[in-house]
Amino acid sequence: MNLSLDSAGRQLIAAIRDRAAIAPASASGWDVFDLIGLTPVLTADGDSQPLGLLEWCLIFEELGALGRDLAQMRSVRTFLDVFVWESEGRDPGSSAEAFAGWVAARRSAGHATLSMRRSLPSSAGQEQAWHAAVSTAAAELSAEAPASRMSVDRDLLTCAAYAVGVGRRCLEIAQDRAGERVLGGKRLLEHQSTAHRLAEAAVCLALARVGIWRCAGGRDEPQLGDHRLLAAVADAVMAGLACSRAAVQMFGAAGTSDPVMTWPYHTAHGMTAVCGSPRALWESAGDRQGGAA
Amino acid sequence: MRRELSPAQQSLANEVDAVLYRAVQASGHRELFAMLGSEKLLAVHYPRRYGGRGLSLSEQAAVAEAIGMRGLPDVVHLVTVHAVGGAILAFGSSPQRSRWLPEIAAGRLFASLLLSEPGAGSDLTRIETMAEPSGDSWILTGTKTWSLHTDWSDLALCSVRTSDGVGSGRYGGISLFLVELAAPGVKLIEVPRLASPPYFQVDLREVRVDAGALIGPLHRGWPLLPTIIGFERWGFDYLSRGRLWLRTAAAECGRLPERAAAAMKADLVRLGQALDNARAVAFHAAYHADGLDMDEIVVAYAKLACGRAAQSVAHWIGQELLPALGGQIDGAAAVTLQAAVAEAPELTISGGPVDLQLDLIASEFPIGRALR
Repeated sequence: MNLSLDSAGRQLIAAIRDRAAIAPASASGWDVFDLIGLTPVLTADGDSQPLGLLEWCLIFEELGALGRDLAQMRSVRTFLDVFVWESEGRDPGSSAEAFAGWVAARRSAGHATLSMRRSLPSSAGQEQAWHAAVSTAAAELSAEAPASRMSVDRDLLTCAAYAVGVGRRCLEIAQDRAGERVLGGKRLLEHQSTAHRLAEAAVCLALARVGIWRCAGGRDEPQLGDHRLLAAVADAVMAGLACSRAAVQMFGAAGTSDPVMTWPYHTAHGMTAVCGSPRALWESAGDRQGGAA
Repeated sequence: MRRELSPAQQSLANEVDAVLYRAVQASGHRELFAMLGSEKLLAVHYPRRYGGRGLSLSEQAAVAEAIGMRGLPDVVHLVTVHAVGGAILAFGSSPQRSRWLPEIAAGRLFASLLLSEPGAGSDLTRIETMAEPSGDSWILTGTKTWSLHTDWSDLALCSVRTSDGVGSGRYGGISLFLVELAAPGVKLIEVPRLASPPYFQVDLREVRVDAGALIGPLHRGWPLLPTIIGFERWGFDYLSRGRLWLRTAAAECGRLPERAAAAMKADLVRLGQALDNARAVAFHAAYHADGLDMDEIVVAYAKLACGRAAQSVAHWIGQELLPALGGQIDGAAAVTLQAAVAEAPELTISGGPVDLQLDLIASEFPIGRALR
């Protein structure tokens, strides 16, 4: 096994870091992807191949680490996912040109619209539902439809990757802060308890990323619908939370009210609403596994 | 990125399985190791002239995992082939390699590490065992502790002080010698532990070794130790145990009433996921080894993840499964699950405590870079 990215993956990450970082906060999801230079790829323009799930996860981790708003990016990705990869049969070779025009028309018409529901049964039989995206007309998918389950799983995994990105941002903030702040005559980072707190969070984050990549890498589809996907999402949510909590500790009494920490702390916690609580995800994973057996 | 075993790795694992499948039920562990050795499956990363197949460390990782999954004592394999054999391969002289490695690779010779001492724990600089020169030989005197399966071993790699280290700090003056455990003056004392098998204390009383038993440079053995221990620390032994425990636990869950079994499903998935992720990191560490050298920070992640994943399984068995079974368990499953509970605390101690791994991981800037 080799968890290293190939050169295309590294180049993708570099492009996002270089370009998405300079996108204004008000930029739409489409604008950000334009800026990154992904639009031709997203729309399978010319010789480009559509992005695989692993690439989407790489993108969303970077977007989380950069502090971009999830909803904007997610609506674009899900829009493409549902309307291209399902409706168009994922055949860019035969429909690339038509599809590019189709996307452009809907963008200009403001049709980046999607409403999607996901059911996540817990052991108590409760259901969680969410709405992703922003518009008026496009598709309503129920969790029962096989196609929607694939889309829902892809969405969940990319959101989980985003949670890992948020966790990474927390960890980087925490390490910077621990390197500057002095306690008892030495830098916070030189206290073993602080260093170990950060290391624990880093381990948690690294393992969560491994779980996502294991689900997303290479052969995408067989992993979807699998209980391990929900397990990976649960790990990612947990990792984001662990990192946010570790980071807050570095700010002392300022804690969550420090402007640097406000967004990542609350976003990490917000991922439980987006993806489901870790406990609910584990239980759903157990149900899925039981169902498969 | 490759998420699964390569075809070459899978083929090796299949070979191990086939050899062990062919073995008669009554074969003891020593015989099984010898059968694997005769097929050159114990140390595939050794050069061919020393009984290996000249393959990479990542291919050896697949072999190590397959051996552990079949229930062979993987600590024996890990310490003999990787730690002691690896030290001889990496730092030994040509005569030392020719003498010992073919025997190790053939499964005819087993070896132990004699590094820790009473009161020293994981601080391997706190050693008092001395080696005094005597003509062309050295005379070793001292006590070593926390050695496993030493009663199997014919040979040990032993750390000693060959000078007082004055002027070079506590890391100076440490040398490494190969000690034949049948030599006069070597005494093994069994130290019972909750989990089986027992530890051994090894008393060395004026044990004579010849000058050719020195591994690496005289007085400067310390820099070699992280590499040698690194071979032991990558965590595959924990993984194979953890997976065996979880498989046994999952089977026992099937004996619970439906409602109780359903309540365990989420835990089984969570624990299995932790083992799978840890396994991926451990294989990744092996994949990126440069010959025998592995990135010590990646290895720290692997060791920590593997130990903790296996420990989580064991803790869960003790806290949740065994109480739910309420004593309605016997036979081989009971032995396996009770061994897990007994062994759990050591999974984050042996091979270097958690603190050392965390220190390594926290030393990076930015933290987490090694696995990104």
